Amino acid sequence: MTAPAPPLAIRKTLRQRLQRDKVMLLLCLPGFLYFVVFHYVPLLGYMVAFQDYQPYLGYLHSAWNGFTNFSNAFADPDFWSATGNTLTIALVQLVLFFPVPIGLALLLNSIVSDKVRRFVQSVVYLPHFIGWVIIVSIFQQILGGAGVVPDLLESLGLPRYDMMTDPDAFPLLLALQVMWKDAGWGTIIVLAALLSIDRGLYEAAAMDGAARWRRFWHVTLPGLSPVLVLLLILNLGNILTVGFEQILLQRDAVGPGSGEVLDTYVYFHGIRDNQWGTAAAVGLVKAVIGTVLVIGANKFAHRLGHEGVYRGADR
Amino acid sequence: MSGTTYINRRTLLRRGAGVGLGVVAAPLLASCGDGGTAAKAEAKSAKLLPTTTVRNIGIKADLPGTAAGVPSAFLKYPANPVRATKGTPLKGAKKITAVTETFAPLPPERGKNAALREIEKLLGTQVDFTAVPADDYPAKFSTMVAGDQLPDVFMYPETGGVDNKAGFLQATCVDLGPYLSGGKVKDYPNLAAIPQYAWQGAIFGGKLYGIPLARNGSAGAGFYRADLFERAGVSSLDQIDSTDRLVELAKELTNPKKKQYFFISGATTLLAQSTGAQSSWKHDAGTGKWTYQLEDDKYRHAVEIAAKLYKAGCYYPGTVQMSGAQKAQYTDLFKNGKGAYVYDGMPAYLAPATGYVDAMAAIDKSFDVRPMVPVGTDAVAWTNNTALSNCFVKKASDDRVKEILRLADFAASPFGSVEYTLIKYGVEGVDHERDKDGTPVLTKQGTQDTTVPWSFLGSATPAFFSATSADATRYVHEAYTTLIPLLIDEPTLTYSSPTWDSKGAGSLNTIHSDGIKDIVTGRKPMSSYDALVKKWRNAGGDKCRSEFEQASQQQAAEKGKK
Repeated sequence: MTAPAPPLAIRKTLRQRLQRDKVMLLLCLPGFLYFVVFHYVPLLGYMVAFQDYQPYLGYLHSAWNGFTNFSNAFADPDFWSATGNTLTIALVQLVLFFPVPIGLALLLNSIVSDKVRRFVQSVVYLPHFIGWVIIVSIFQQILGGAGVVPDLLESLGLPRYDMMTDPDAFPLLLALQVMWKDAGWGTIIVLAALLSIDRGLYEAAAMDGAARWRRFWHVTLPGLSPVLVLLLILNLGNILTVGFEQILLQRDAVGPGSGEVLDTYVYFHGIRDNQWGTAAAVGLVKAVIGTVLVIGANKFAHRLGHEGVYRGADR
Repeated sequence: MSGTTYINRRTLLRRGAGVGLGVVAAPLLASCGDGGTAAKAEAKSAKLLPTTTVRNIGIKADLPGTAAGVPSAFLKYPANPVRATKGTPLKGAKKITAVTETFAPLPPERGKNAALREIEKLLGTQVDFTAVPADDYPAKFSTMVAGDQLPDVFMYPETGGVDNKAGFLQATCVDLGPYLSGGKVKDYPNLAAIPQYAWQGAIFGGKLYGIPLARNGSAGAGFYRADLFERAGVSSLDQIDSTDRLVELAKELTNPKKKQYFFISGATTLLAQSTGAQSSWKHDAGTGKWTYQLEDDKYRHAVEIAAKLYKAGCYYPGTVQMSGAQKAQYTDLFKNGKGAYVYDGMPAYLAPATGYVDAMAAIDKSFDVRPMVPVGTDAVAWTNNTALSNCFVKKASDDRVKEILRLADFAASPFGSVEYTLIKYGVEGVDHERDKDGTPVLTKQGTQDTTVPWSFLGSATPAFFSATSADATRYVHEAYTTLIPLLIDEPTLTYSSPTWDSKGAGSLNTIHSDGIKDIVTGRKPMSSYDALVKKWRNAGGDKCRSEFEQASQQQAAEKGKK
């Protein structure tokens, strides 16, 4: 045996690092270009938020108006009401919807027969591909004032209850609809994470006398947690985007008092008035808050010892 | 534009320094526009309006129209179409590009489209037509404008296109006044048949820019089931002599056990026209005062009636609250016999196959659907369907503009003409065959070939004709015979306010309709009506009012000088 090579210098020059990683960098290039062209360059469009933008004048010739678009939005009580509704709906969705795909994935995972599992999986994926207009109609048929549920209540001697037009139940209704549509679709990523857990760990735990619940607690959950944290952080980034189409369709059913969210606010107060500046300003506020939440949650995850979405590069 | 200031990114950051995003910031920069892009309130001069006449090409209507605006109706399709334009109107002209929206599937290209080839032969030049599905059109339009790729002639999106329409038109389109105002329109006899109310809506920034796609003036008051009304002892609408009687009838024809409800979706349009409420704005020429619909006590009364009807359970559950996107869902409930009344615009009555007459005949022959009219002695009709939109001509040479106007004149050819027949039914023998009554019936190829939206390049008020039901044609003609004399003045056609142009159909309308829905459905009490009016006024309503007032005072002052 020859003497071991001297330890590598911790820091390499940029040139050396480029040389070392050139294949990797080349592989990244198409993806990188995609993000630049389709995600970063369009960010420049946010300049509209600081303009009195007129499409026939274009970005370059529209007049700049500083923060007027922002102050207009912030001075409007409807904007704050929409923000409040958005947060309520987002919170209810996070609490009610987030655990559902996880539970469903665990149940699916516990099905022994491959055939049955694949069948059930296909069935629960399908609603994801149904448009909101149809889903809302289905709910209208079941929960709406002339639907199945009020009829049933009446035949039982109870008062008719129309959930579709009850402003107080609106966040719950939305969460139910999202569950019905996307719980199955959400299992995909959780199932993949479950598969990546080393089977040997379960065997070892069983050998140590761990029963089903203990195995779940000590093996499954820790195995899933990086993915769950990742999902949670990504969800936080989208917290102010609670589903435009779904809500636009049902906003009038409960009135703007409970049904107006930031996205519909932008539609009715910005886009419908051709006030692109206001629309872009509210969009920018949403994006900034989303970014702050993602970065914050990521930092928090690191503190708890999780990977989060990303970590500073180790050189 | 002189008023536009260029600010580079660095200057902007310097000016905005110290103000973080997310902080409630007072406007730091004064708006830079100084009128270069700002629109002005104004009165639309009557001098600009073309002298209009009733078009007579020698085909006699079975139910004649009136000069006041009742459209002609035809019970049979004319056996021998006659020409409504002369010779080959665009002989030797360069190819014309046109973009409009469409509600139909996209037409086949020239090589496979006999109707298109025949029309171009008759015109004498090629027309490159881009038809864009209506839902995508506003986006397509914005892109065309931003990319400076406007065609020779284009339809303006009916749902609104740019914020400052007058500024946009001044910058890019031809002032058609020198070609059409007053007697000059004589050169285009089919355009001269477009009614004055539609031309009024084609004036922007004090100039006549638009070629209107005229409609019947009033969109009507919805549709009702005559067979159900008959069951409750109402064989003629005249028997409903007041809104109280209407309320009684509604209660009588509502039976939740049988899933029968009187109203499907909203009824405010019918109720408010019945109480005699104004449509949008009212201008009192004596005092010079402008008032909005919400501020009209008669409108308030109509909302009160609607709220009572809702409480009494006369609306099909959930339909009042449906959004525009769910219109198909609630109109289907009516078509399937779940209600006695629905509000929809009159053009949806006779539309072939999909209209109320044809669609309901296909479901149940006993459904007798007819146009409703406002009821009672106070009834009025709103001037709310004067035009679908306007077409505009991109800036071009004098000769070119005349060519494009001749194309619009061709497109506006009246019912029964050779041109109209080609546009609607294509080439006989290929696109359509005449049935035993002489009605042109589209062949399979015809249904595809005739989807080129020529009629969106210019249109006088459409005549009524149904290939399937002569009765329905009579009913709709009767309805307009009632409605047209009830029409009330619509001052927004004569005066313009930039704020109203920009927000009237947008956020102000949202506040109005949201507020009314809140009250009708009982989410808010009737006592909150005043708060709604206040909110509407603060959100821009008062600004519209002062702009309108400025416009009408200006006009009064000008008249005074003369």
